[in-house]
Amino acid sequence: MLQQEYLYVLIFILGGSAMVLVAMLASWALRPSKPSKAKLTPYECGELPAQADSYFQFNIRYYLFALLFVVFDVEVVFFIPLVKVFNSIPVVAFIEITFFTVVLAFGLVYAWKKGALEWE
Amino acid sequence: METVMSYFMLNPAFYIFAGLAVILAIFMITMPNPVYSAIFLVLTFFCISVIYITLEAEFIAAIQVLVYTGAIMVLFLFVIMLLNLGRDADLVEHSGPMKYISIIVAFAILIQIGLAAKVTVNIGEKGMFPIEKIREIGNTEAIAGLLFSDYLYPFEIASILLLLGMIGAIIISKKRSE
Repeated sequence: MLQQEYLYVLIFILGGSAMVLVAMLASWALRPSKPSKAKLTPYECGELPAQADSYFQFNIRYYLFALLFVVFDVEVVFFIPLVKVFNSIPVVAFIEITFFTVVLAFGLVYAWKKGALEWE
Repeated sequence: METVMSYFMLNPAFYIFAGLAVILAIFMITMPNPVYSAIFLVLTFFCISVIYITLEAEFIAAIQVLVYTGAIMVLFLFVIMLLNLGRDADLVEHSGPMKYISIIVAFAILIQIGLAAKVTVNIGEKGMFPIEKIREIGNTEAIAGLLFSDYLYPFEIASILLLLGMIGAIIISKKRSE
């Protein structure tokens, strides 16, 4: 039973890998071969890669976004079990979940009002 | 040797990924560059997630990947970048003789854990959710059933805790950037 279920996971892994492999092989077979130095540079959103030293202190602002991401990520953790039993929970539980969401939405509103999401 | 093999055959996936987790964890603590350490920590988390799957705890396995390898690692990497530790060469060891003492202490603890595991029978009394029941109702459903009935109040506390974390982060970063 359990092995059966993981067989599907294996099929998906193999299928996903095969798709990438086929795409790579097809483009390898079809493309003309013109190697150049520019093609070997690391990709950085279409720009030339950073020439200066990348060892510098990052702005703490980035950390705020990371922390907000973590908070809402943990919120998702609580919502995954919710969708599994949504049809069978009592009304009280539904009210509590709404409260949970509102509390976290308040956090987002606070961040917004404080201008934490702005990037001056 | 026979017993080692029989243990291995009992659950090969566990032994493979547990061993891999230990090896990757050693790589993590020996890397001179903290960013490489973070990457090895991610791989260790993946191995631990597989161990959860071998325990048939799929929900925990998914959460391990979602929260630890996703969110917590983002925080670790951001802290590394914020601290600005500099080049690998600056991060030489300063521990001296403490290094050898800590190795001895670590081995002593390892032996103790091994002895404790040998003498204690690690099959406890069956609780409210034995494996048969979990298999019947499903992993995530079992957690959800408890979370939205007996543990509603702690669930609400979690939301307040998350809110406090969020407000704290905003206040700290606002003060710094002004």
